Amino acid sequence: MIDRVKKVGFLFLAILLVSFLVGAQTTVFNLIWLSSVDMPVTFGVLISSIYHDFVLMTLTPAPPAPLPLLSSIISLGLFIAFGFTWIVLKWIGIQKKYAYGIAAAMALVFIVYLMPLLFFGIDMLAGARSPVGKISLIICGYLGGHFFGSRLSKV
Amino acid sequence: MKKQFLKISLLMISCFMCLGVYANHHEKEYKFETLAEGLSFPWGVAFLSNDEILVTEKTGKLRVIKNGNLLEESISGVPDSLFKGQGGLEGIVLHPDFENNKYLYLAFSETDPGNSKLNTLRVIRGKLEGLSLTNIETIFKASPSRRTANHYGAKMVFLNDGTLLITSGDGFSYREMAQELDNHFGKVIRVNDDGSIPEDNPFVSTPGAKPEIWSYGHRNLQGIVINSDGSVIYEHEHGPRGGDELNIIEKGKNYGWPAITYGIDYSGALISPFKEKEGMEQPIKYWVPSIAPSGMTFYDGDLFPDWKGSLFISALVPGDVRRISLNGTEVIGEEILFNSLGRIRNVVSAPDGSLVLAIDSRRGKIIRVVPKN
Repeated sequence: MIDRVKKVGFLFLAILLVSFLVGAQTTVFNLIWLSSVDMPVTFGVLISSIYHDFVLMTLTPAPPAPLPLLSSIISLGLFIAFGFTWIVLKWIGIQKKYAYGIAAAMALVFIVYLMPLLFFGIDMLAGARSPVGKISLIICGYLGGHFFGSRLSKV
Repeated sequence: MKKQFLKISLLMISCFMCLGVYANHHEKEYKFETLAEGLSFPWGVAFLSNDEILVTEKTGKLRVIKNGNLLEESISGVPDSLFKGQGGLEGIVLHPDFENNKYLYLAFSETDPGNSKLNTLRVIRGKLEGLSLTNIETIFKASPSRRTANHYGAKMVFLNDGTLLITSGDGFSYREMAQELDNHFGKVIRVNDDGSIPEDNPFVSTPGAKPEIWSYGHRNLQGIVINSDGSVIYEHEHGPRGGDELNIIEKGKNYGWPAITYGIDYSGALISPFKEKEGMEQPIKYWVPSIAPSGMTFYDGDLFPDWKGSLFISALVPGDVRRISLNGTEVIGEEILFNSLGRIRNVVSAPDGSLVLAIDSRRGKIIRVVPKN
């Protein structure tokens, strides 16, 4: 029972971690561009912007949607990816941290490439508009999955 | 004590009655007349005369309303447009000398002929002969093409010097390019009536800059008008989540998007933590939360004397029209009107001084607002 609670807790933390990293990636990419056009981007601006984006993207509903947009999409993606991985791991022997890492990375691949197909070519995540941005978001996904898999191995 | 309570109560009742009389009086100032129904997403409106109105349907047809009847036949010869996302057949304006030359200008999105995955904003002019548009010439084509089907702008207005201003949106995913001068994303464009470039445009001699650019740093500009003597250009643009703006457009100025903004991204992310910067213009009014401003007219008619000199802005999201009172170029008031009609795509002043509204829907309407008495 305690193990099951721990697993759910780790899943929740993985969602939070990926959401935070994806939000921070968007923030950093925005600030890099703002800096390039001579806007006064300081360390204080960086920290307050990352905090703002974490709160508004991950924790606050985005009207008209009743739920936070980013964490809801990432939750859905990770649920599907981790569920699939859980089944696959019954037959294939691969370390959990890598398996879940790849699964979460794949979830992010689907999110960054499928969302524009749904929204007339629009990348709803501003940080996903460039190839470098897309790759860094996929790495964010991998890190969250790796964290989840490595925690599961210790339960 | 009891007397005092009675006095206060009487005073309050009188106040409420006065307010009631005022509100009632206000409601009775105008009435609606439906000119046409069953239009497919009506967008742009132009008047051949007070009773002959051209309406663009976003789905691609140019329709005619004559003496209160929507003609079955649409104008032929209109180029194909790309009806997708926010794109379609959109802006329309008549040449200032239309009486003599019959030139009509249309702004629309179209698929890039060289790459079917891309599209762009194109402006054409043609001669209106009966129910046909002939002698089609391209006046402007936004460059580069884009993958997205959003944020075209596509509004036009002629200035008193005979040049044409065209709004060209930032294409949604290309917002940073609004700060660069080597492209048409997020710009107000100025061309001569034949599409050639006026010699006094601000960036004609700037290396690498597109010479058509009149101002830059815009998002999705869906309203541009001039005041009655043509001395002031008003423009409004959609912000993201919050940050819709009403601006006064001046030659060569930078309006800041996306380096400064009062809005945030739809995802909740900051687009910029900055709201002002030297060298970037401030709006004369902004809206947080957004009202989704979709069209604008400067009212100079006589049917509603109290409204003379006001800007009227249609708003999609609440579904109303904002009357913006001005003192010179300063905004001194905002009144919400016509909020029972649904999504209002456009508001224009008719030659007789009435206001005409385009109601945005698959079964859209054109409605005239006239004085009640």
